[in-house]
Amino acid sequence: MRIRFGNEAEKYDVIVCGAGHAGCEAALAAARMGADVLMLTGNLDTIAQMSCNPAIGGQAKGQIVREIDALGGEMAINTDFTTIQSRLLNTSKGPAVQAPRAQCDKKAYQLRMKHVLELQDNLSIFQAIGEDLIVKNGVCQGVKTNLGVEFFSKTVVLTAGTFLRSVMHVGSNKNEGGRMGDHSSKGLSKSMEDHGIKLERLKTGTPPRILGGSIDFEGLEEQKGDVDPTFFAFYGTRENYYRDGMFHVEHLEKDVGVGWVPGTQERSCWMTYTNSKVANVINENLHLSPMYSGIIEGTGPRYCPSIEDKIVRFKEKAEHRLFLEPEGINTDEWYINGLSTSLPLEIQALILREIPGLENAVITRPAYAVEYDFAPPTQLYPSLESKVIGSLFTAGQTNGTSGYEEAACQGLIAGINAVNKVRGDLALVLGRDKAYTGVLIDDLVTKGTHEPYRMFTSRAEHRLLLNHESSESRLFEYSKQYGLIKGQRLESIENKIVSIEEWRGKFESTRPEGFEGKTIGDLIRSVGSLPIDMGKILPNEFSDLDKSIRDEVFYKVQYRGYLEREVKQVKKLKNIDNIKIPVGFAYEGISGLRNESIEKLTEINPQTLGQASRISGINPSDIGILQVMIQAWQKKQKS
Amino acid sequence: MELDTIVSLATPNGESAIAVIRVSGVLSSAVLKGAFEVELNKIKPRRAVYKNYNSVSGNVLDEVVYVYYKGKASYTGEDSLEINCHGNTLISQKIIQDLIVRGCRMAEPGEYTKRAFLNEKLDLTQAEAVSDLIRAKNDYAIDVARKQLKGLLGQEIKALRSKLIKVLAVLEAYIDFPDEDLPDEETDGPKKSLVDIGAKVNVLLNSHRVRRKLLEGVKLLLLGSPNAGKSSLLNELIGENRAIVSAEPGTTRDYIKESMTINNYEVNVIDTAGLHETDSIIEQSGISKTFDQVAEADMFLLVVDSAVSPPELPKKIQAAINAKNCIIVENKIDLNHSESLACFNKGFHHARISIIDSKGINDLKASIGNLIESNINEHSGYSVVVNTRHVETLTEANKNIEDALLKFDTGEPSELIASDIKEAYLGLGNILGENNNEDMLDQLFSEFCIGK
Repeated sequence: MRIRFGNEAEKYDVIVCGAGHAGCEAALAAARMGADVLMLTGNLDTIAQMSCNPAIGGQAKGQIVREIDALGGEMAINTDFTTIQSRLLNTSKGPAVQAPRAQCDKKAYQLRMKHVLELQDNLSIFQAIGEDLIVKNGVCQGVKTNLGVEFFSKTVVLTAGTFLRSVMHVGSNKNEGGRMGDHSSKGLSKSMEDHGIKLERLKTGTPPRILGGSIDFEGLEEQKGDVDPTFFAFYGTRENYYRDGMFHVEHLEKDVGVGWVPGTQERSCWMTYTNSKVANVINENLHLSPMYSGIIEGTGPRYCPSIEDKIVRFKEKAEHRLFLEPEGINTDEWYINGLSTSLPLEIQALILREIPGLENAVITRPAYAVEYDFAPPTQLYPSLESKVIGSLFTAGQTNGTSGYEEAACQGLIAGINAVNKVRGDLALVLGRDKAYTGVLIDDLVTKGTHEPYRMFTSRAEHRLLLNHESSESRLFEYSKQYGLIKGQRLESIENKIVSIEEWRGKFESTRPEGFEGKTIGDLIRSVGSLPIDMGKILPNEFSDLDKSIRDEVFYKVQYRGYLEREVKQVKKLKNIDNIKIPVGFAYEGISGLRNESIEKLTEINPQTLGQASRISGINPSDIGILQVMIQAWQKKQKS
Repeated sequence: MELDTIVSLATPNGESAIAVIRVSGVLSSAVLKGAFEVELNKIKPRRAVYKNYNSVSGNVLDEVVYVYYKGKASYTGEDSLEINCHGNTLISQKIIQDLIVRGCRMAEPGEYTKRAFLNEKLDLTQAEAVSDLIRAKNDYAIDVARKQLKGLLGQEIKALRSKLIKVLAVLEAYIDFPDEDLPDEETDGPKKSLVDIGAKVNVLLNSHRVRRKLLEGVKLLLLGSPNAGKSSLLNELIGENRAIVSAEPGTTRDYIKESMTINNYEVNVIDTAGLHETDSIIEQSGISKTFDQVAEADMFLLVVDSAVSPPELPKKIQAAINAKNCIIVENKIDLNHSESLACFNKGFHHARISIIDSKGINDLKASIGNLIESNINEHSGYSVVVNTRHVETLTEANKNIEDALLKFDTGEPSELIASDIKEAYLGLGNILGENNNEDMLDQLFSEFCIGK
């Protein structure tokens, strides 16, 4: 379909501005829901670029990627089909906190995603740098590019990544740009501020890239992928990809030209460590780091610190571990995980010289820090629509998060809700008990963030309910309701859920002979304390089921007590989550609320009492007072 | 928007020197300007003002002294007024009715304290202490309530919670950073902390026994052979014929319980079936009930007939009694004129009485008083004392902590240990009133008196 511009009468339903991990999910979700979508990106060759490390997943992030797959997104399958190493993390712990992580071929990842976008119905992609938001009567109606071309739409999803007023630092050298080799967008920042959106600064960084041929692997510790890899996408419910426990090459999406059968291109990572010599180099040159000389003002990610940060903050630690990660199968560039820095290039070279295995490393790209604008996310509704500019949705680093996965899940929700907005449907807001995605968005819009926000399992108070295996069945009601998954897969998931429930019931009621009347469930829960051969107890039909079903049944039975406890906690919280704060309810002048509380509540404008209770600084007694006042307010409205 | 302005009488109904009427909420000009002809912005807080109280219809209802408390500096945390009028029910009721005409409404039981809680003047344990303080009947009970009102229990709970959070933080680090090069996970530290926290929770739980003694009364059990005179002694102590007295041994098959007050302590005196070998099934069941009661009792009076040789006591009873919790009462000294019976078990305090001649009863009461004092003092090591509501939560938390410790030993995944610890943490929050539960709060404050 032709690209439509310059004509207000030819509006797209959704324009997605930005083609990173958030933008891709937003555009695909909206288009797959049947909306008319345009994606704008400053550079078609950097779609879905992994600007930092060539890996997807990891603790809490891996769970998010599986949720994305459950909600019809692309990140999971794109990762699986371009992965060069898969590992399940935390296998020493229980299934709830295990998470898949994959090294990817970063170019293959990008190319495959680009191709998927190109093939998607209802979606056009176009190279143009967004420079200005078109806002009329407080409602966003499109995007104007740096070439002065206007694209009109009913909603805009802005996923600008690190590109807003971005500055890169290598030592004292400063360059404008959101990523080495790319541009910076000043116009969008100005446009947002002109229309009343507050912006603040954040900082992030990336390590140097080096040539694999220059690494001396001798003596370094090798890290291989799992022999039996855990994938991100759910294949048990997908006929096209996977049958009889096997991937079928002929069934790979036949139009997408990039990618391979998951697990067929395994590569190793390697580990090395910093030492006291590295610490000396850094300490001697700390004044050259723009972070420490005060040039960088943005707040960096506490959980992904630069190497100079680690040396300064953890003086007692003699060595810091570094992972050497290959960036792909058709390149010899390697990523040094753990060595992010903004020190000058010559110091970077000095540091490498002291690290075992990297003594002769050849740098292909320097490490750098990047500072950028973000819009504090308390300016958003839980739908990710801006409270300041109507019909404008934002996702990813623009909202203050860090990480591809965090960005992607927001993009997905923003895309879905842009379509809901166009259609006048209720927004999709996932509960904190339903998904990490729900926890993430609720944290952002309720608490805001002052540093790049990264997801952790401990942020989820109902973590045990959010095990990665259950994503597909857990989120089924939403993927069905919003038309995110269609056809055969939808049916398969429904069958899967029925089957899980059936077997769970059977396990709790079947009493195999010879175990003093205990149920299979009782026996599963006492495994470890009793020597039981489960294989002899489980019915044959169960063993024939798909592994994903068996795993979920086992999980639900084995952790029944804990899951019930969390469900009970969820129900308790639901009481106040279900109390809606009436539109127009004024906090000003409520006696008993402290001024700080009034300010916070007015600023965040929570939708429910539950959301109000999660605002930082709002305490239980504030909620007690609000509860009384809301009742009084409603009584007054009625009379 | 504001909460309703509430009013009530803060002193008991009836004739008295003065009566105090309490008002809390927005003191609109309708109240201040109307009743006292004074503007809100002119009124000086915390000053006693002598003034006429004018009704809506313009009549002087009484000459009163009022004190105004501003905002946070009041009991409730909102603007409050205390009106001291003459202690005549008619006058105080007229003033209250006038205040209702001016837009106030009658306060519900405990509503002032509930507002103090909502306005963060008190945490929930402190609010409960207010009720305890009003009801305290002896010095020790007052002391315990006052400590709790100062927030000591709240502080202990908060300290336990922050210790739990520290343990949790260590566990969470290893769950959330599997790929960081953290030092090897060790469980000794977290385990030791949990053991300490569990011990503290148990100290709090044990303190409940003290509270029961203080508020519900000390359980004093009468033990002895049939016809030693236990029931007669009960009657003598209580001062009325409550128990059935008969010359036939074994009449008291069920418990008979009466209350009395000694040295301001509530004492529940419990009579038991006589202790002797018997073939009668009814009596046997009576004796086995006695054993149950022994387990729950705080103190004992072992009543013996000084005219006959002392009885052989069942082992369970021998084990339960000691010099610190038992007095040996030698009855019927009117029949036996020997100065003292050479009795078993040295170290016990012996009281010699004759019920028929009413001899030695006052001395016995004094001895019981001393026993209670020393018994209560043994618990003075408890800086705080928990109530039944706290016990429920603490018992739960204790179980969670024990579960967590067990899991460390059996090597179960740490996210499950974390789940137990989090549950304990949330539970302890209930004691402070952190988890908003309107039903629980309503229930709790409804047990207060009106005007508090």
